[in-house]
Amino acid sequence: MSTFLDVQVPTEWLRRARTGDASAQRSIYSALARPVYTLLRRLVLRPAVAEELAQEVFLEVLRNLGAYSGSGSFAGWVRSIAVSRALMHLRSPWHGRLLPEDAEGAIAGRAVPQGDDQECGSDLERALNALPDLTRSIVWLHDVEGYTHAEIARLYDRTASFSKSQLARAHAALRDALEPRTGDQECTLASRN
Amino acid sequence: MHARLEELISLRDRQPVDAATVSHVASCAPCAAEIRRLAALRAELTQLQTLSPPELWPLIEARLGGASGSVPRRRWMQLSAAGSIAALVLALAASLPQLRVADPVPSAGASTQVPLQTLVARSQRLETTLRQLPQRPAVEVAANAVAIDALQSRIQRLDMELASDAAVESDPDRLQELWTQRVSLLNSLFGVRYAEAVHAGYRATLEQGTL
Repeated sequence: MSTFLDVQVPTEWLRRARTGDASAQRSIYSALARPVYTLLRRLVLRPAVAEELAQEVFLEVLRNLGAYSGSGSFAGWVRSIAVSRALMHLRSPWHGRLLPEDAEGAIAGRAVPQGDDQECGSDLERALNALPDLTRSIVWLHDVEGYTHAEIARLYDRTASFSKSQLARAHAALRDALEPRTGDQECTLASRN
Repeated sequence: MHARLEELISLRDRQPVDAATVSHVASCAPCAAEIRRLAALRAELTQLQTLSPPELWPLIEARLGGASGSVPRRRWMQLSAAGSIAALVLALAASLPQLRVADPVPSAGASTQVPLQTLVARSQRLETTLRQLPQRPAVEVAANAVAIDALQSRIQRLDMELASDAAVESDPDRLQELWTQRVSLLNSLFGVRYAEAVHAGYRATLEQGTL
């Protein structure tokens, strides 16, 4: 379940933050920093990129609090901005890994970026990080954040069938990566036990 | 014939699938086991540890431009921000000739062709420089806003083509053309944004009464 669903931001914080109250703005940041950063790290992998994007997300959120209608969850609104920022980054041409063709051929082949701090992540994290960006982002948005195929289709300007097929590819790749568990990894987390 | 993975995921998510698949899975132990495995994997994904960011608030607060705090502090921040804008614009002005001369993109019809990698690198540098420009002013000049929107729209369309059109990848000439256009558009965008920033910095300086 998405960690955003656990975040409750009091309307009083929002009211004060709209007037420029720094302590309210900071409270909003503190409540949402972890879910926003986690989501960005899962989507873009690189810590430095995630940190930069997280700053941009909070700048956009805090500068545009007036645009939040109050009809849905505030955390959900922030999440939609974070997802949009991450996908904009992934779509940049030189990043270039969002091509469906890439997902066809390179599911098992991509290494976790240099300098990442996930050397001791779980087997599942390693398998997830090895997926191409497109496939990884879709499995995360669907299985963890709870986006529907129709919502994912809108985000990627594709069809729901495309989202379904990418999700199936992601699960096939994860299965292939996780099934031959040999137990020779140094940093196996309790989640695998 | 077992159900396809896509169908099993739909069943896991309680989404509709055709009756034949439902009937098959009801009596097929491997397919039922696969659905359980998929559900367990989803549960594992949701239980992956959340990640703590480094302390980003000071950076965010600074980039918010002192929109908070007491009135004297806000005034101080405004002065500081105006000074920063002026300094940044000057720094960018210093780097502008280098940006434009270092590896120029030939105009249409020019005989020499810039290597694709150079175009991509130049595109990246221009985007980095654009990100370093001050935030766009709250009060925009209409002509600037229209020009910036138009340029950004054209860049987005190019990006869509570059990112999603498989035919482009296998056509070096088209790829070259698109990246050349992209650099050219980014150059234009930088020009407009730069002029806007200079104007905003000049106006801020005037408002401070220090000019």
